[in-house]
Amino acid sequence: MWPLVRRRYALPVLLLFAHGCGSCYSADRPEPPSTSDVTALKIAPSTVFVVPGAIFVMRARILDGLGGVLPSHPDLAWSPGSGLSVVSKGADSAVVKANMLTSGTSLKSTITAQLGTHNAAASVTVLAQTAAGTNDIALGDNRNAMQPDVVLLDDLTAPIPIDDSLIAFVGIGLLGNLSGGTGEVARFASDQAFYREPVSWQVTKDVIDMRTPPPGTGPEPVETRAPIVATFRIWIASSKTGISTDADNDVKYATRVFRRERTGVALRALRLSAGKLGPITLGSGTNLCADIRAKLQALDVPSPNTSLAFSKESLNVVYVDDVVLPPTSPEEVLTPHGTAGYACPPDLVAAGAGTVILISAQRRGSGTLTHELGHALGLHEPESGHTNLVQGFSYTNMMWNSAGDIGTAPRSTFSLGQAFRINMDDHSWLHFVTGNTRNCDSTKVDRSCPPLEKEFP
Amino acid sequence: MNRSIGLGATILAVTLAACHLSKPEYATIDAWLLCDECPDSLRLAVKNIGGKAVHTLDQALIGPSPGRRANKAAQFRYSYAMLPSPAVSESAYVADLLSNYVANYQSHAAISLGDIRTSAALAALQRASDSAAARKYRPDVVKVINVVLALASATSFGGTVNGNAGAVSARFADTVHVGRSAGLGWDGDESVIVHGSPFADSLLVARWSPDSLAFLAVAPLGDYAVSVTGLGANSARQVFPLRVVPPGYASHTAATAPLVTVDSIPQTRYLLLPSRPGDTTDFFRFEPTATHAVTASVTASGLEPATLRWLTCPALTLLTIPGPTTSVTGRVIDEQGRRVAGAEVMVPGYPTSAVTDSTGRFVLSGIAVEAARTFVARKVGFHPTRTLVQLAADSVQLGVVDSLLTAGTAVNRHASTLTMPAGSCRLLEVLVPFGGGPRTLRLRLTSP
Repeated sequence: MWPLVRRRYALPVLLLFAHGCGSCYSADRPEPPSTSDVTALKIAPSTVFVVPGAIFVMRARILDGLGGVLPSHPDLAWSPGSGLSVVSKGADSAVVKANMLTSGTSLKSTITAQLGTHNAAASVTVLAQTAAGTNDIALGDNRNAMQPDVVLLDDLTAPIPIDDSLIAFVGIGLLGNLSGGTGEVARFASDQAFYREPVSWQVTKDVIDMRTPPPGTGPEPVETRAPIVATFRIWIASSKTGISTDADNDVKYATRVFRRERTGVALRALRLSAGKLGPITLGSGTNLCADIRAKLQALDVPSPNTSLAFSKESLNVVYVDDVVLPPTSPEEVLTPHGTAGYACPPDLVAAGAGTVILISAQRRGSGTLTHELGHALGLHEPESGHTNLVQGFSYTNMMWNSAGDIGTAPRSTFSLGQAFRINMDDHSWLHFVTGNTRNCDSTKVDRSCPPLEKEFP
Repeated sequence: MNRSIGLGATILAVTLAACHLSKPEYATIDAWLLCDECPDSLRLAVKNIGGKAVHTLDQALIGPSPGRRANKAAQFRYSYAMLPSPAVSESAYVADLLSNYVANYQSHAAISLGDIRTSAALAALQRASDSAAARKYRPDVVKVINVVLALASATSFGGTVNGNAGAVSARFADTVHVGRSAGLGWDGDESVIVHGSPFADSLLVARWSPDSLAFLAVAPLGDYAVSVTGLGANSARQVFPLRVVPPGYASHTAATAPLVTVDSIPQTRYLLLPSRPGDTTDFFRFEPTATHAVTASVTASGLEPATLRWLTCPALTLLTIPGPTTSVTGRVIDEQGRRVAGAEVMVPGYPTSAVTDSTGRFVLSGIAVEAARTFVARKVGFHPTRTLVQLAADSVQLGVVDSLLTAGTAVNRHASTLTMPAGSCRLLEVLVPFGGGPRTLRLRLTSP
């Protein structure tokens, strides 16, 4: 039998025995998309109400085949419809002006964006001042060259409940005729704080006034004006050359993303030098942050020559040489590995170190700080806040857990659902400022928070 | 005939299926290579793929493909374009972050190959170690590869380290004690190697006895593999992991300078310098009087050149402390014992000072007694000296140092060397300007 076996099975047997699986051939992994091919084009907002004379920003959402939001495209062309004109344009945006109305009636127009063979149109309604009629309306500030405000509406006790309806507007927005009773509005605006208000919808016309009152005209709702300032300290505890400049650039990037994505948060960082430099090793067990305060103190954070100290409300970012994770198994001789960043929320940190973010100088990417700030500001679930494990997100979302190369665009976006949690969730560091303590637990089935993947219109 | 061919094809298919990665397995490996917050479960998942993953990890150890690097560079260029006023050029920004990305990718591949630990995985690690220069690995990647390779390719150390079995942490420059376990051959030719330490000669075996040895944990803070070699009749090698943690270092003053016994030269001392901006000064005291010249050399890659000075030990002056009051009296003399008149004596932090009279005596008032104080004596023509005085003591010493000796500095490897002539008690002052790079300094003392 052997000669027969040898002849017939020579090749497979040879393959089986000559190659242990450790050395057998495996095909290379598929390459990621290497171009920024545009597969879809949208305009945000897709529907917007504006007052006559409004000057506002429309953004193009240029999507690649993976759903990633490409940040710019120089060939993007904008075509305004009647009553509109394009004042200027950027790589992914246009500043649009709504001309004054020549009659007393509202004007419905469109604006179109074109990129190669892709077209997208948005509806723009220029509202006559008398156009509101009996509809409920929202009033906001008419500010030049800003993205339109977005209002999230709930009218949950209506016969046909309205949940997470979205309206975009400049100056005045038509909400429809909500009359069901208990509801809520939440407003997202560029360079203004997140604003939320419970509403009891009436059959009669409701006016949700979110305008900034002129000075001296009475109680001024602070939250409708300047963004909430998130002040944090950055400690440089890394010996890497130029790390202070790196940290400054990281803060600039984070500031830009939080601003552009209408989170209502303005970042303010104070950079300090730690007393010592080096890596930091997170603890073992289920709480990696349990002894973080002692480990920071070993790096002289806070520095002995400053009066600054940790508190429950403090937010400290520490740039270290590396953020080392402990061995996974004590019985095996395993080399600990590192991580680009790690956010320790205040409820996980013993001894009142507040919120602590660690950034590895030797692993950080351009969005690491922004990503960790997202965790600190309430984006912690599901999947630890990582959207690569959640349906409805693309790799350009800030909370995608990868310093990877899935596409050509960087992590740069927050969804509306994420912006809501940043401002409202009880795990967000902002709750020390705002007092908001809503629990947006992903395991709950209720309507208190919009879906995490809810996008700006 | 047909059955035979079918069986052959089945074996081939089974073989290939066992060797090829499935799509989810690729995705798992990719997620591990690219993650920026990396859960242990992901590393474990790659380990569990086993030998099938080795080829892919071997490729990953070389680094991301050109296509992946191009994608990543595009991402960083987009990020740069979003910065309102970047403090660096685009090329520097992209190059810096791309370097991090590549190093992380390679390090994760090395760690997983160490986890899988098949012969093919170890061979891949060895190839990487051998071709580190050709592949242009970053130093931190080289360290990971070498540590992983050392840990994965040797038997775990069966003895004790600082009295414990398994992994240990040691403060920088602490002595680590390695002990023999029962049944482990130990004949006195054992030694240790710290893999991944950039200080190739940093291992100072402090002592060994018939069943133990000790060495200094001198390496930049981080994780290392330590091999114990020469074990047993076959001179076997075993390995244990070592984590070097900060020492809580505080530099010495002249008064608290640690004693260096001249008879014990040659010897090497290591300092992990504090990293707070500002120069670091440290002192070492040499006693008894050397009967031969001593050369001190300081090397510390990445640091600015250090400056060395030999100072004579302070001349003795008797101070009388009038109990826990606020007055301190004393006398200043030079190194020949002559009284020094007109020298100013002060305590930093106090507004008052005193000038010695013709007999060298002084009286300082208004000094709190609850702690040690540093007295400074200075006079034109002399170099100022500082002496720490424990005011609770009955007597203290205060002196004035003699002339400044020349300092040697060299820019190559940032080394400084200075030779002390024989004949007198000396203080060695090491001044290290603050700078970037590893904050570790090696002081070597030799005698011709």
